[in-house]
Amino acid sequence: MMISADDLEKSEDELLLDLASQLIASGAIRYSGPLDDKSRRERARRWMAGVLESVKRSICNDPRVISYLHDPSTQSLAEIAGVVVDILSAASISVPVGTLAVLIVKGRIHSLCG
Amino acid sequence: MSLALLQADYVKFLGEDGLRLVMGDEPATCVGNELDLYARKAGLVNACRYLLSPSFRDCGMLSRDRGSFAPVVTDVMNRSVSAAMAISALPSEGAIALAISPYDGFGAEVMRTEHGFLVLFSPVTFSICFLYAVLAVTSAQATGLLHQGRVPRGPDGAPLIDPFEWAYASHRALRSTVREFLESGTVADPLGKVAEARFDLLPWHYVVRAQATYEQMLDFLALHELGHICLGHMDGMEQVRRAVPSASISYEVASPMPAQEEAADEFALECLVGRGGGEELDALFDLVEKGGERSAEVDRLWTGGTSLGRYMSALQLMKLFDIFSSQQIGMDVGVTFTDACEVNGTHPAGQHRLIRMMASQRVLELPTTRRFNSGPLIQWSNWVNFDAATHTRERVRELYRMSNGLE
Repeated sequence: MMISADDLEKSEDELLLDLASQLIASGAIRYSGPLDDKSRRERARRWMAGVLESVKRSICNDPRVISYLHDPSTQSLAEIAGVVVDILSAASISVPVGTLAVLIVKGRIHSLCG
Repeated sequence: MSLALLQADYVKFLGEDGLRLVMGDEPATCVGNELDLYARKAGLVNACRYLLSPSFRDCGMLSRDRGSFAPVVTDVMNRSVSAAMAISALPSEGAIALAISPYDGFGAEVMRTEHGFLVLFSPVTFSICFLYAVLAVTSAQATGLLHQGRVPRGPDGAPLIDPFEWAYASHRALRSTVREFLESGTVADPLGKVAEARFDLLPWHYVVRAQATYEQMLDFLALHELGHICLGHMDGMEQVRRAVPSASISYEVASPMPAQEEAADEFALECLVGRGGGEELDALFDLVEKGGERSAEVDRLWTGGTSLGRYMSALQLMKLFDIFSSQQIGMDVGVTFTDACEVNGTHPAGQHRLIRMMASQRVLELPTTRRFNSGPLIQWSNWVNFDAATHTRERVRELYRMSNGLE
């Protein structure tokens, strides 16, 4: 599983908007009316918080993640994102997990497993 | 599936900050219910189920049970699930529950969780729907009387107000309320808006009607979301279940989003109006034609308790979406976007939804010899578009005279 450089270069806000679109397209959420970007990001952020609660143990107990957290130079960001994709794919998550994995590794993995 | 598991999903989704937002900071502080004052003046006692309060965030709570919208949600859930089950089988997999969302904007939404579906309403959705229901009922009645050449009169028969002034004031109150809500997320003086609209000029039926309209608008919102579930719109994962980078994802959804919204609207309207109401309406229309406007039977028409009342409430909710669209985008979205049927790629414009619903009179199941006259509703809708922020009283009077051939 490879994560593209485009995904890794996106800002947090861009990734959250991507995730919000994926939540709609995959049927995880439907809104009663059009939402602005701020509201879409808010929903993606809250949905992700709930998911992280469920997958925290799987991610943080993975030996590859433990190794990365101990010494980030052992793997690139793309490689560790691929690891997280593998873990998320094994969980019952109802959206494509690529964007979610990037959101986790870019800003959250240390606090999640800290 | 167990509702308890779904409830656990809900609590997990809310998190600590969400729980705080949903539970509210403090109970409503107002002592009385201002709607009671209007009801008593109109001759009604103990008629006010919902709270009209100086504080916008309390408006729409149950009058007897203040502090949160949870009891209102329970009522909406019971009514809407029953209405949906009368028309369509709910999916067997997964529980369904209505709940309050932690978001601060207007709207309802449905979310799939591990154990079912949560239909979520934000708190301000209740408050603005309640206030809008009062103002929409007032302004629609004021417009209807104006176009019929009728004047509200006191017990002594004296005119209470110039009909044009009433129509103008009620529409100004409605439009300015929605504008303030969109700009600030609240309404500073709900009681002032209701007073400005001259809700006090309406007979007792409309105190009941405004509350029924509020309930029916909430029911429509819930049924729209239940429609997404029943119509399979929440099953899109089969088409996108690939663990790929977002840049590589191609969503080939089976049906475009706006079309799904239209289908959910149709589902909600059919469920809300219900089946088998045509004969009752036909008989009531007969009574009205024979001059029986004041009978207890016909009162059902004015108080919103018939299939026609539920249909009208749905139309008035669509008008709210139309005002939202036009004020958010700053142009006439009906003209600009109806052909494309979209505002933002997911939802049709409010005016498009309103027009589609006006064209759905078949749900009333009236005999082929009888048609419901939607003219007054169209007149009301047109009047609402005369935004007082851009149209002076004189300009509106001029437009009214022109549009009615009075020049």
